[in-house]
Amino acid sequence: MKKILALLLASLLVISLFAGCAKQTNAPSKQDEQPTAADSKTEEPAQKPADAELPTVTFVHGYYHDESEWPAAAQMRQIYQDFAELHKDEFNFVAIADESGAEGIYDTALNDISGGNFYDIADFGGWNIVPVASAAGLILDLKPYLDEDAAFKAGAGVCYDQNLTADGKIYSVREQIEAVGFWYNEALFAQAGAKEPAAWDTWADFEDAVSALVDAGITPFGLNAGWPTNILTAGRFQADAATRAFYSRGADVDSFDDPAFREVMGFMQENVLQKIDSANFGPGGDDDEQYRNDFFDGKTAMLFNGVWDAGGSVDCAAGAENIKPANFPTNEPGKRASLMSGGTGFVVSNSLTEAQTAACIEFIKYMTSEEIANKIIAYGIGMAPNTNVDYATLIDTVDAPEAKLLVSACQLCMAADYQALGLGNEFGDFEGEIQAKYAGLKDGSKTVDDVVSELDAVIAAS
Amino acid sequence: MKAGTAEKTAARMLGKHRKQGFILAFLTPCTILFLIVYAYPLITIFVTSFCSWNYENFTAPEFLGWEHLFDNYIKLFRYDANFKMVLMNSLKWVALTLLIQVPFTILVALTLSKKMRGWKFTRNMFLIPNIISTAAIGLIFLNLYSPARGVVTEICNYIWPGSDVSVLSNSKYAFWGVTFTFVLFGGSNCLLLLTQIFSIDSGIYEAARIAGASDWQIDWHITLPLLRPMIGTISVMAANYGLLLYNEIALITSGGPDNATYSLSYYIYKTSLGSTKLNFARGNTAGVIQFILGIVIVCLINRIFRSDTSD
Amino acid sequence: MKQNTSASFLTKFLRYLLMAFVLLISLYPIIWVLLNSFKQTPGGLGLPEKWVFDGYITIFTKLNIGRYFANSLIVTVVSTVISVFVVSLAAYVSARIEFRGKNLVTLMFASTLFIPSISISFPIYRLLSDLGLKDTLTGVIFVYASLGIAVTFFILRSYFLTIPKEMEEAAMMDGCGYMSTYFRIIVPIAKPGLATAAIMAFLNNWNEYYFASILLKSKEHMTLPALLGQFTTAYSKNLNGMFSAIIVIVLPTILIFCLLSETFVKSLTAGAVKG
Repeated sequence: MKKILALLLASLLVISLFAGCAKQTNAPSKQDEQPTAADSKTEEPAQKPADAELPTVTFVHGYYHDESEWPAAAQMRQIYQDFAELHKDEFNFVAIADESGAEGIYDTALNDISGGNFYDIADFGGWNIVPVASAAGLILDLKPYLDEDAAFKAGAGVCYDQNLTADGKIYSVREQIEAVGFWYNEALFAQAGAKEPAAWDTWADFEDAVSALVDAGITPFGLNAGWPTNILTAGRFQADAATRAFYSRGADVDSFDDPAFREVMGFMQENVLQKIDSANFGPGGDDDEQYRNDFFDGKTAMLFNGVWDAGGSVDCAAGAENIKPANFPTNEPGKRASLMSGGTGFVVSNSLTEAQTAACIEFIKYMTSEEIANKIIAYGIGMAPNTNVDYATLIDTVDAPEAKLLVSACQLCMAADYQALGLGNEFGDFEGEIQAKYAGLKDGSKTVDDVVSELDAVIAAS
Repeated sequence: MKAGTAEKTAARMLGKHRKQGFILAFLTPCTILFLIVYAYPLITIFVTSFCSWNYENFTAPEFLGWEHLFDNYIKLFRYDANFKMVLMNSLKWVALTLLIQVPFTILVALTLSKKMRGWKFTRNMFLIPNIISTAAIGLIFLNLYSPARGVVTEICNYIWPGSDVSVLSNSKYAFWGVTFTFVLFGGSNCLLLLTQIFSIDSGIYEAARIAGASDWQIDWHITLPLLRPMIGTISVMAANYGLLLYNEIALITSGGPDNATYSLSYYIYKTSLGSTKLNFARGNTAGVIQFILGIVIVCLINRIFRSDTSD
Repeated sequence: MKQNTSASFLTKFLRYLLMAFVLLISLYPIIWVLLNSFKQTPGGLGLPEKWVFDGYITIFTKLNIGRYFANSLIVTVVSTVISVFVVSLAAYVSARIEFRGKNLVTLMFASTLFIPSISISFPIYRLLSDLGLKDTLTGVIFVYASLGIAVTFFILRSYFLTIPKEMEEAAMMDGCGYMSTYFRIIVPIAKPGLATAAIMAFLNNWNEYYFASILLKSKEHMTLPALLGQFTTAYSKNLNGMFSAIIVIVLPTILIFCLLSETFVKSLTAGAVKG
């Protein structure tokens, strides 16, 4: 026992020494970094006692990553820092990075809500805290602020309509949106002699292209029982007025026994799932990203993923120059569709003082402004909802090829005639139920009728 | 009353008090931890399974009322098509850990206890799959099962040419695919058994050897009976792992295909935290079922191995 | 009838075969992760075509690995010691002493195995916030010490059950009280059991992430498993980095265990002689 203790103590000593050294060597590099949680929290009031008079707002976000790992995170922290700097005479704006990311922020918020508390302001990065937080009466309705300021409303873009609740409130807007079309490999399309997505008139052209690719021995796409397949399903739902109408009812549908739903599922079974062999169909858990790797390795011709995956083209085996963005066709010749989900972003507590609330609104206005929108797109962080962004000029101002790719992908999504929410945003828990059926549809053990009756059984249970 | 008996009674009473004081002193610290960390959640789970508790009334669960007392349970069993599947899967996993992991671990422990060359190394290495993050285990098995590059599909193609089995995307095989991501990894249980084996009095073995018993006979007639309480313990832990299976599923299949790998823990997560409806009432109802199942399994295992009567 | 004490060739062969199989399934994961931590795009079998050290470079130069490591060590060691000490008392009473309500107490500790952690997290979080222990190592130590109750309890209880009763009876005869019997007689005999329980608790707490992610928020309090999060951004995973992080997290535990196992083995044999 003594020996064990001695060993443990010794290792503790060694480690604390190690930790001490690490801290010292890191000290200089930390200074040029943006202040993290504790830094700003403890140091700022100490250095500037006068600031104690000013109202303080604490903002929690999930951009905690080291710059070398995710440059976007550092850029976002800089953007927050700039804002704090800009308003340092009016209020203390303290940005804190939560080391467990958006999911951790969401979990913590739930814990807080159960005790009747809420962050001053936080960025939920797509995790939908709004239903529970608004039902608990803890968060601020942003609609009045959006309505009185046209620029703010334009900055919120699609978020304004999408996040409008049934009782006419808007609890969240976001500086980024999940814009989704798809990506394709130009070289493989050329090799197969298939018509490129930009030239597709209707979904029939998609079918022809897939057949051409298959005939040429090229796998048209990799999929799995989840995310990428859901994107294609959602895209196909935008084909005509009937399918769009069914789609927009989303989680409120009272039966899946609808010709529109049958049509889309039939299409998915025959023209999508059964066109690839099982080697290209993954199980769909959190770790499963094979479909994506295969595309960037040049093994498949299409990838169903959002605009942010422009970053995947860097140094990829498929050749960055071959990777091109596209939006979805519809069955109305020439009309295009894309998926744009605002989702949950900034949410503000409703128990702040007037001055604190004003600071939060100021911050959200800043984050959704054209200036920041341009930065977010140009830095390759993602797509912004701001409707005033001029993509045509923006594309000339960015240098990196992956940033150019992102801008053109955003441009395509924004230019689409129909812009719909993602499958998960629209169908809620049914997304999981629908994706559970893909494997059965693929291997033929399930028919569309089976899927319809099974999903209706789920409706009956809830 | 004679003075002598009074003294004796007094001494006995004193002894009794000393014993009670001792029991109290030894149980109190652990009980305090239990009360602080577990008692409240335990009560919450049971109480809220008779409540409505979701995103709409998250701060204040509402009692369903006496005439609707069992609504959550009725919904779970009668209407929720997934739940039956979930329950079956979890019970199957419990059975499989008991039928595969426990015997396999015992076999390995007995083999290692012979202290053949490399036994210590093997024992230490056997712990690694238990230490390594499940995120890595998920990726490793995705690769093993991957129809494009995985070994499993290749072996299947060798036996049945052209079968092109995709283990995880086929609802018939996926269950087994997930099972083998954890069922053989009994390293820590093996360590427990070994500790126990080595604390057996070596005199017994020498006597048996002199009587001419073979290794197999010694293992079967001496070691295994002496290991019974510990085998009971590792059975409880293995069954517990099977019942609470969560990480492997979240990382590899997210319950699919067609719910073939949906587990109780994953269901609880999905209905409570994993959905914007935050239906904690239903999640906790499933939690009560899980809890009761766990207690029943522990009692059954304890009965089989009678860990109370060691000698 | 065979007279020899050593096993036949066939038996030996089968034993080595089993050991080889165990080694295969145990080493495959770690070697796979190790090899892939050097690959630009991890996946597949075989050696890396080009050896890449990016993940390790990030971990050791950009992230405050020493701080993470020290936090993990403090949290894990302290919580393990507390947990094993406190639970061993209860396990001893439950294994050895007859009293009313014993079964209930045993069931109470055993039942903690099956409470979903989602259900525990809410009350714990609120309690720690009220006590001002949120985002402190003390809070996490307290939670970890409690989380291990059931496993430690089971291990120690079944170990105490195998200690011959005569040992205590003899001590009692000599006039030892309950307390001194426990600390002077039982603890030395049960050392191997205590050590094994400590190893289990150590390993579980070393890898714990769910509670760490909810309770710890600031960079200087993070524990090692949080390294994985550094390589998971909102849109993608850097597998090369993740695998490097896994190696950095797992390797110390393996090393510590291999180093300490010698000490353990000695205490094992010591216990056996006394028993």
